[in-house]
Amino acid sequence: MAVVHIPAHWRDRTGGRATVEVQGRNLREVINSLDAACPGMKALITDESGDVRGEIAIAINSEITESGMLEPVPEGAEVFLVPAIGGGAQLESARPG
Amino acid sequence: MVATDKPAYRVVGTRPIRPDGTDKVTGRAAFGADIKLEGMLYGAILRSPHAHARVRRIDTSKAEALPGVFAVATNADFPRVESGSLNIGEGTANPVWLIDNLLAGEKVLYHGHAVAAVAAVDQHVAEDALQLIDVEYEVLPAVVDVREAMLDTAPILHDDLRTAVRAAGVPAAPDRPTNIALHMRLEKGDLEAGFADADVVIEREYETSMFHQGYIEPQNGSAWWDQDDNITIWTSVQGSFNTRDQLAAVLKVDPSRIKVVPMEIGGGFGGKNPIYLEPVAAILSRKSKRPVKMWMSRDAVFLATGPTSATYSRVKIGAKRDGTFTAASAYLAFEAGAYPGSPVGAGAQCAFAPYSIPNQTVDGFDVVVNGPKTAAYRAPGAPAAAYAVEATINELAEMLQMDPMDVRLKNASREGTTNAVGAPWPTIGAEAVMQAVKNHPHYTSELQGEDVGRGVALGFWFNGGMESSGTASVQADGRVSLILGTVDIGGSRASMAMQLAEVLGLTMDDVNPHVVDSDSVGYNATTGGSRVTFQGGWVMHDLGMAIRQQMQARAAAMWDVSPDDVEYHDGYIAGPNEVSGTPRRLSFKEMAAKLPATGGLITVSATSRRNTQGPAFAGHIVDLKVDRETGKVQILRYTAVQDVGTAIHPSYVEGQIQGGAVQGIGMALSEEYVYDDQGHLRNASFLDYRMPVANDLPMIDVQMVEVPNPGHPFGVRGVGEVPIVPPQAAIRNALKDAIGVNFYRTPVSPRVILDELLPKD
Repeated sequence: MAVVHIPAHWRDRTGGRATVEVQGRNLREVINSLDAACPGMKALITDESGDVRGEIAIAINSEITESGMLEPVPEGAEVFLVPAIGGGAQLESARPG
Repeated sequence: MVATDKPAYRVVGTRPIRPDGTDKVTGRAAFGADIKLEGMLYGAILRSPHAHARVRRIDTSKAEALPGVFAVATNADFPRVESGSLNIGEGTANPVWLIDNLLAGEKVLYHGHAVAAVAAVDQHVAEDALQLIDVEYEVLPAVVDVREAMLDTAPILHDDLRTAVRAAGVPAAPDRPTNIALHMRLEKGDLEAGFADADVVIEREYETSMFHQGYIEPQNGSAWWDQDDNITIWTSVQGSFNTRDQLAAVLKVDPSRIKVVPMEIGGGFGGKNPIYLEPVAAILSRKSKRPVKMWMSRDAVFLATGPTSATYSRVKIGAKRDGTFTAASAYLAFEAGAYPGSPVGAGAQCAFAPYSIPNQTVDGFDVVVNGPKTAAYRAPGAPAAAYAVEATINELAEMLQMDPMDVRLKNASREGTTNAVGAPWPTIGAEAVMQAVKNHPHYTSELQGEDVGRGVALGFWFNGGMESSGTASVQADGRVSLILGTVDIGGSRASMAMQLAEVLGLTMDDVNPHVVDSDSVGYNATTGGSRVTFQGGWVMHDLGMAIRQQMQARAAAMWDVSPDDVEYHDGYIAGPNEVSGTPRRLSFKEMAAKLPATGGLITVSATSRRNTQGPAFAGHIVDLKVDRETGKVQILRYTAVQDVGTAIHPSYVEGQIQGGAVQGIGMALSEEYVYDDQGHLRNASFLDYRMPVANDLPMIDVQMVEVPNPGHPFGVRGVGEVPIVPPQAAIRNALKDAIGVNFYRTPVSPRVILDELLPKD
């Protein structure tokens, strides 16, 4: 099991829970499990290609992932969804057209 | 080979001469402006005289008819692209907005916004042609201040922009045009309970100006769109590959059709991740069927390339009488320039990072204004956030009658305490840096004289990892040819060669590094995010270990022994003694000479995407003196303390720290964009945009705290960005100590100081 920490503004999707325990050997499986438990979460985290959205970074046990959805998730890992740290955020609901 | 304590290195930690040094000091190194191609044309850009206007009509016919003009381009020459998210190096961007920024579409959004481009036989004809382009504008009201842009009554830049809300408890934004692209919130604990538990609560407001990176070399780009629809770009940018990918997105061309040749680069600091000229040059080349070269003048650099955000912030901290922080909140509003995408998310995560605060909330706002689109600038977002927090902490320390470093140490983030999003810190050097500042002879020395003051401040930056690749070939003469794809801005040829030499037991001179184009090496992310020496070091480790393994196997075959019985140590390959007792031992050079006859020379490649970069902390101490007659501030002494993990080349690490500190001093005291009421930039030159120069400053003393990063073979942490974070607050705090005035805006220029010191009448 991995413990996914949910940002406060997405907790309406988790019934108010700050953390959700899910199964998964890699990030893709963890996010799929999270989406099964809390429908709609996957669409918030991934883009239309199924990759992690540019404006989001994912930390597994305090280390920002670099390998995307195939990043291994160790048993008991703590997974954090955080804003990306780059110099220019992509804003999904602010896109034109 | 993961470092936990610093072992005895042979090469790492020494100070060899950089491989590219001679070329650079003799002027032989080729920068982007040095490109000259057969049949080359020269491009020029027409820029908007207005900060905000609708483009009613562009008539280029007279320019096209001018003898010597080969092509004219406008926004209409770009393909229509889908809205999306594109990696631009240190951050992402929407290709629709990228194109609109390259050459304006329906509106110009800032003074200097590119409107049209010309390619001609020489620069003079190109500039004459610009005068013949007739643009009809409908001038609109402009807004250049972040708080004014957030008002409901503000002029709207983008009719289709809506606020993305990522803050719990905040209702969705109304479906109407706005300049606020994002409202985000980070929160943990119970803020209300935390403040209720405090004995002292302090709240202050701050502003920072827009600052430019001030790289010496202006942007440039040359393009050749050939008859087979392959595109070659020569440019001075931070990342060949992210430049290639941006070009592919805005030109709707497959990335494999584009080759980016990285020229030597005269500084970037984050500002040479976005593209400005290269796609325009490519379109002009396609239209003219000739190579086209473009470069910016200095005023164009100020007008139209990405500076960092001007900001408004509000910070509130609650503490117990003993200095323990119980709660903290911050409101950060960052200008994004003409298109969304300020570094407010990074600023929000950095604001309170050095401190363990159980209850905290940070609200961040990304706001468009009529200014150039902001770009990354050394620890993007962190300096403004740290300025507000570190200034507030100093005032809090004064209220509590505590030493400012004691307050910080009492609340220091440590391994296992949690950051702004509740994630536990790994091994970090925050406390070690704070302790080093407190114990530093500078901090404990007596400060003498009138109108002198001392200030301190802390800073944090994440450091990046991303992806690096490289190829190494062992030559028969025993040297190693090293192929790199990361642009060398801060001495990375040397730091890569040194790390590979360390793994192989060679000297740096035995490794011959080359930075090559995007077709000639595996993918490399940008040179930015303080990532190159970290991630590249992992690549060097992997290359070196692969070479060692192949050499051991080759020696085992030669000696007819098991590979398990062959060792590699300090540049020698050794096997079991011969029956006669003679040792089997070959140096790297001896073994290299035998490679051609024993199966061929060795070439290995490696790619790394490790994510164990580890964050960086810095603490700065400054002494200064204020001249009460002129308002001039003289920096008397400046010490920068930083956790650097392991310094591969200490001189380059010190240089990074000194350079970051100097840029921060400029932010604190003299640099700012000055706009008039109509949004015209009034100081687009180095004469009027005042950066500190050598005779303004004393030597910046550097104390490196080496807490090796356990996630790197040599313990490397990124070092390039965090030194720009503390200076604004450190200087502001020193000014308070010197003349008793708390300033709440940077820069604190002589005029600002005189406004405080001179009689009000």
